[in-house]
Amino acid sequence: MMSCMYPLWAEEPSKVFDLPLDQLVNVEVQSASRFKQKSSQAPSAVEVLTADNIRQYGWRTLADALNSIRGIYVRTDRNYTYLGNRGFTHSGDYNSRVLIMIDGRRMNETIFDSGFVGEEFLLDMNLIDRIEYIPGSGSSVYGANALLGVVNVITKSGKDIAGLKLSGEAGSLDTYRGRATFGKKWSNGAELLLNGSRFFSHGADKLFFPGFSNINGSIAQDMDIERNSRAFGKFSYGDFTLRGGFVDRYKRIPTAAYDVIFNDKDNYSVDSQGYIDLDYLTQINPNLGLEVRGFHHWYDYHSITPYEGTVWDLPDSRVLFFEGADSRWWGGEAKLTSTQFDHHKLIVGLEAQYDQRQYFTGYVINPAVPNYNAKNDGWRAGIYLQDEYRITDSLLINAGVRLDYHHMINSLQLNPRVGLIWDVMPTLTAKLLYSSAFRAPNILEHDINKGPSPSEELVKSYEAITEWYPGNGVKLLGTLFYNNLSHVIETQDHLPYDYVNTGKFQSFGFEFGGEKRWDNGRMLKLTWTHNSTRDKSNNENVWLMDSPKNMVKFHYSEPLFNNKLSLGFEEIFVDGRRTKSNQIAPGYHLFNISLAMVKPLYGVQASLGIYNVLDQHFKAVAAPDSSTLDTFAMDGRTVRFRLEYGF
Amino acid sequence: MKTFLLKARHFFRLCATLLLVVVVNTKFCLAVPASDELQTLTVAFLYNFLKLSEWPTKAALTEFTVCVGQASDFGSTLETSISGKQIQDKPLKVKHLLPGDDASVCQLVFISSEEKPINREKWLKDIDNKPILSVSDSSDFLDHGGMIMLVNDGSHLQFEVNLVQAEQQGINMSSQILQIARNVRGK
Repeated sequence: MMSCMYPLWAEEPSKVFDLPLDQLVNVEVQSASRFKQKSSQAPSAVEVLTADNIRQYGWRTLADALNSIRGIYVRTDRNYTYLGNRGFTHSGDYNSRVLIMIDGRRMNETIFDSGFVGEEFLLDMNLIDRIEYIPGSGSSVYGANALLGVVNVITKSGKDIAGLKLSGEAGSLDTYRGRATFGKKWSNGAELLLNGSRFFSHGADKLFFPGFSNINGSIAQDMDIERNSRAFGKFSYGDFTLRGGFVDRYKRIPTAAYDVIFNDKDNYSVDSQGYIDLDYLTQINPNLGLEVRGFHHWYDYHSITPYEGTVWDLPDSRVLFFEGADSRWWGGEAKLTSTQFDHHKLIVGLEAQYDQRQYFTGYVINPAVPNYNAKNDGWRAGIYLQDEYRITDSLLINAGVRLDYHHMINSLQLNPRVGLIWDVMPTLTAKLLYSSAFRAPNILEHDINKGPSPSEELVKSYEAITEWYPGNGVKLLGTLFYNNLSHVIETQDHLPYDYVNTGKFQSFGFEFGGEKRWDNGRMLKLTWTHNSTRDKSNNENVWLMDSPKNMVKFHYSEPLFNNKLSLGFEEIFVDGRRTKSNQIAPGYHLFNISLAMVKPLYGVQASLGIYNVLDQHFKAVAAPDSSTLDTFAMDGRTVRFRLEYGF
Repeated sequence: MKTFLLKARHFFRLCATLLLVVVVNTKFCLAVPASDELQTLTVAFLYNFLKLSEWPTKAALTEFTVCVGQASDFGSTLETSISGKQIQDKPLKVKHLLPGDDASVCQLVFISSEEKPINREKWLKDIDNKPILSVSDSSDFLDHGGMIMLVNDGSHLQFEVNLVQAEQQGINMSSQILQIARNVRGK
């Protein structure tokens, strides 16, 4: 019996390098394997961050990593973390205008359409092989929410971990994380990756928020606690990959947003998200690739907020308000990638998702006073086509279009993209891009609304890019961009909300970037993004709130002791931002230093990160949901030490 | 919180069941032939081509340099598997070419089919008339002055050789390469 001469768990290390040529030609090519190309289909200047970068700069969360990318503005309200892109951010909204993906699978949930990037994100940083960021709108391939950018996080495989790894980290503000990771690849190609972690951070004991002087001297005591649990697994065999992940995060909220009682420990939110995804990726023939996947996701959220009874016309001095969401969705997608026709690279895809449950509710707990209750369900589906047509050896056109049906809006959405890429010389490339994208109203905007549901938001983006390689490992980049957002969903009132498509924003700017890599692994990178983003809503024309006009980012990493250690310096400058009371939150410098072992020594691998070395308690701009705060201070210098042991 | 725990439990049960299904099914698998990823295989081929070729400049070399462009990301495979190894008593080094870089410092240059035509032309021009082995996985490589073309026939990786080009540039390929090649031009 020939069967199972190579059982699944056979211990046979790959010896392909020792094979002579005549045997090598008989080794079967694993059909789904391809070169690691940028898996995101985009003609724009895609930014790629690697696992090496994560180690070099000691990034603790996806948000830390994204903060290093030109044009991205990361901010937190001490509950969630938000992304602004090239000057545009919509203070007060969830993170619904950037699409976050894991291995090409959409992670934005279906209640607020938010994509998580902080400790509420599903993956631990050690699982990330690379992060791809496509600036600009990407609805022509990815559908809704890809308004300002697409982030695709690609996970490592079992063989990258190769064994059992236990890791513990401790940091300032009573921050701890424990993690166990197991990875293995068997000789028959089967690969397994398992990861689990727990995280706890007490945060600063005392946080000062101006404006609450009548309560505890304006100090929020022990109010910044955060903890999470994460699990992720990936098993692949042949053309199949099964992935599943789960995250549960608790965060106490110190800012007393939404005019709740200040310094009250019953003010927190809990978000949990999970998914399971079965992916079939194969090459039908060397020129035709097929990917089919099925998925199931869920997202649950609840928060408790303490109010003075008068807010709800109740005699009680203090009542607790519960807000909760319960959602699940499932669906499938299929994608064909063809290089069968000379000079053409075609991608055709179909995606369908059933939002089986979108339940969102809010009420005063005791005495029970119902407030809002929304239930929805429905289909969303999209079909897309993209062609990369090489007209001549130096001229390429990348054109795509996607048609979307979304149950939260009445009309079909058609979003095109056209990119013209001209290789002027081997060292000089020029690109011209146009694309559009949309966002459907989320359940909050659609169902908890006084008037009729608003329609979709739209963005049109225009971009010109030049890339120049003058030699000696140097890459220079310049971009000019214009983003026009219209019908942006805004509300004037809180409870009952009144969502209308009144928002209108225009953003114009440029970027310069320079990067040099040395043969020994040293790397130097500097980017500057300048923009002018105007809020033209309601016939006004003002500088958009919380929009920094300049961002300068500097990265330098140096291999030490024959590449046994890496030393990384990161400096992020964010310019002043307008607050809602027309004050200026001053510009700030965030300077981080990281020292890490490149490879384990006797199984041990250590790293040390010092964050915000300059100890600047810089000001974040408060969102409109807080009537008391205009700005509030971020944490000062923190340190993190991590130790990993591999078996 | 209870509901979350319940859901988490439910999720893990689901995962475990699915894993079990996969494991059980594959236990009764048919024969699995030796197989590997395209990336790893490609690197193994490059390593063999290096072992089985002769460079007239060999005596003057202190090391062998393998060059790859940006378009094909071998991940860490290239560095971890061949960097530091010895070829004909000389250490191997990997160099990543940026657009505009001079390919004539290499002993072997791998030009991916994903590489821009303008880069391919430049690098082939750089190595023209120089004893530098050129390898690619693009289907028209031999017509454009390349020496070895890797061909993925869907299940195996084969290769074809342009012997005229190799001889013209002074690369002496062993008979083993020529015998195993699916096709040799100018034999």
